[in-house]
Amino acid sequence: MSIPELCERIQDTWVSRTISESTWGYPIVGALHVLAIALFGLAVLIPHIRLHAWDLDTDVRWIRRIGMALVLTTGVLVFASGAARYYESTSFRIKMGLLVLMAVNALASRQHRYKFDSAVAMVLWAAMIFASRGIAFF
Amino acid sequence: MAEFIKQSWVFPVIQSVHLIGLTMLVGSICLVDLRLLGIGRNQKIADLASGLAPWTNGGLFTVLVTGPLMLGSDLPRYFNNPAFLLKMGLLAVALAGQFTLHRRAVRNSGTSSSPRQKLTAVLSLIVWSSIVLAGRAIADFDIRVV
Repeated sequence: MSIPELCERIQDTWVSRTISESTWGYPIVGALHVLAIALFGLAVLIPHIRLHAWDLDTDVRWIRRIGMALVLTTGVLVFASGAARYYESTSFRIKMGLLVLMAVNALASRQHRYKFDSAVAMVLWAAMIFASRGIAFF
Repeated sequence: MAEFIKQSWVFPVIQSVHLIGLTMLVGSICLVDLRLLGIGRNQKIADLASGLAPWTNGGLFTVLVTGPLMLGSDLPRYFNNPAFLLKMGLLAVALAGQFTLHRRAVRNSGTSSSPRQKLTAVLSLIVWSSIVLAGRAIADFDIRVV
């Protein structure tokens, strides 16, 4: 099965059709995706920001994990509702590439160069926002 | 100016910057609220809030610059949009609360918080979340004035 065929199947599933064919499905899932980003987007960046006032290891970890889970879950649902269209979108592909780069950056981050790593994370993060908006256009 | 902003690529760029500012603003307030609700126990809440203040202020500045730019590009669109009007009402409530109740709750806090401070945190989370949702819903409630 090719990737476009797989996308067709994904957007034909019950969950996807519920979102794409109902009046409020897409507005609600899309809004929750943005809400999750607004509430937890900064928390995801926090290990890079190095706040003195926050015990990074114990306090932020769970907020970050929950935040990432919410952003990814809602994101997957938005994608599933129109998988074929998103797969075709150049901007969506750029966004997914940036997501992979962010994961690599997070995994490869090292204490002694955290300033550089955090600058990279913030640039990638901002670029993802622009790429998201760009999906509507190309 | 308005025509320039309405051009296809300028508006989404402003929207993206608006969303980045929103994340700085709401994301930093959310972290303080979660701390008021008792998540994390190691640091003073006031220290966390002052550490995050540059993000809150920078975010507020960003949304207050980009928001009016979008508004100014098409006044009739926004003033006929129920989601936008709701958002502005909620924003007035949120800002008023942020600089009174919320500030006081943070200032009077030590390493743990009272029920009153927790209530402030819950209200803050609800109002700021509603603003984000209402903002997103503007596109869903577009009644184009032809």
